[in-house]
Amino acid sequence: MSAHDDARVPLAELGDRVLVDRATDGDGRAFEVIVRRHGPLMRAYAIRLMSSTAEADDVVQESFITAWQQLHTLTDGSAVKSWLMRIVSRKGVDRLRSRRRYDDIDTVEVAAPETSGPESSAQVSSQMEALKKALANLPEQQRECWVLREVGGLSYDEIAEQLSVPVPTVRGRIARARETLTRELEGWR
Amino acid sequence: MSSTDPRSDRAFDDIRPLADNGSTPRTRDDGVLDCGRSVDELEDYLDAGEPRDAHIDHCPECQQALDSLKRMRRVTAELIHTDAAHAPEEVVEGWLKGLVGQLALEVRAGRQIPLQHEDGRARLSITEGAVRALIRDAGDRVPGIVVGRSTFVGDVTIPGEPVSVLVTASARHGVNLVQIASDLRSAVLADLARHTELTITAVDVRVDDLYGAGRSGEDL
Repeated sequence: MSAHDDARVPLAELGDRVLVDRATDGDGRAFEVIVRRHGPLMRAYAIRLMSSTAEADDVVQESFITAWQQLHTLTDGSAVKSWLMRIVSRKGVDRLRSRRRYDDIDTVEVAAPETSGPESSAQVSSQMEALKKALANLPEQQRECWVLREVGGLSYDEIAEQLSVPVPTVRGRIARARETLTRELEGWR
Repeated sequence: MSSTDPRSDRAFDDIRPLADNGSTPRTRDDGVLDCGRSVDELEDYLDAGEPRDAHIDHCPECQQALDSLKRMRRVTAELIHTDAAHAPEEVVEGWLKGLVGQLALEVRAGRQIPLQHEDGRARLSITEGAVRALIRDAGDRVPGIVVGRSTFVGDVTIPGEPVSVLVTASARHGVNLVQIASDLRSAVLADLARHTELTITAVDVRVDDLYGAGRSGEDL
């Protein structure tokens, strides 16, 4: 069998569609490129959803395992990014739910507001910092709904279904979250 | 857990008495502005690219709410993209390490494709997954085109059964598609003949993607 000439196969240059095709056929290297390409955005989404970096990393890991197993169900490979984001939504919601269940029985552990890392001092705007803090301070269920909607792009119906709550509840949570966040951002205009 | 817990929400609001300087448009809990338009409608309006709207265009309340929404969207996008740009390399490597076992577990072997041994007694076979890998490798030897998926049409498990192969591929921007598809076809046919005993009637190449546009200094 012929030796692989890695230099000649520019996997990182390829579009998502062909990478998904290859990965569906069992090419782990193509899947690796997908992980490198979309993992960071999935993580950024999960960080805001979970309000925890460590849990976000776990959620992304779980999402990729599911993605690898379910890849054959994705009919349009060029839509892999939004497909992956949806898996993150599902995994994140599941984890928040079990976290709440655990918290009900045991201690209520309030997620420590994330302190800004060293990278944020220079280029991060004060508005971003304000949003970060305001999000971390929102009641969890409001934050969950708002992030699913505004970052995950889910519709009210989809969020209601994921959370098993009525649509008006979702609507109310998002409206309250939006109002709080808007107020917090006002100060940084 | 089927409804909101108003107490906990209020509790949070109460610890943080926020200066309301009156510049924030007030909305009721259902997200409706005093002018009657809902924030949801305004979001749809933004998503639609701000088409002309007799009310919204002249309503100061809507305009103010739109400004807030736009700013919120901009800052949110900035936050997410900044976080994404700063994902630590070791975290990405961690995911990949965690996936190695999974990728190996799910080899996507597919069906067994029989091979005759020369003495006619030993029963050998090669998996469908291995043949797909072989087709990818054949494609990798043809510069300017990359194989995506391979689909076998016909029963590969029956020796001698006519089988055709549909191969999807991505071609480098600017190559001659007819020529490159023909080169790929020959490479695949040659390798299948060398390593399998499939009776291949056709290799159909479908180029459904291009790569490399504007990346290697090539214009167009």
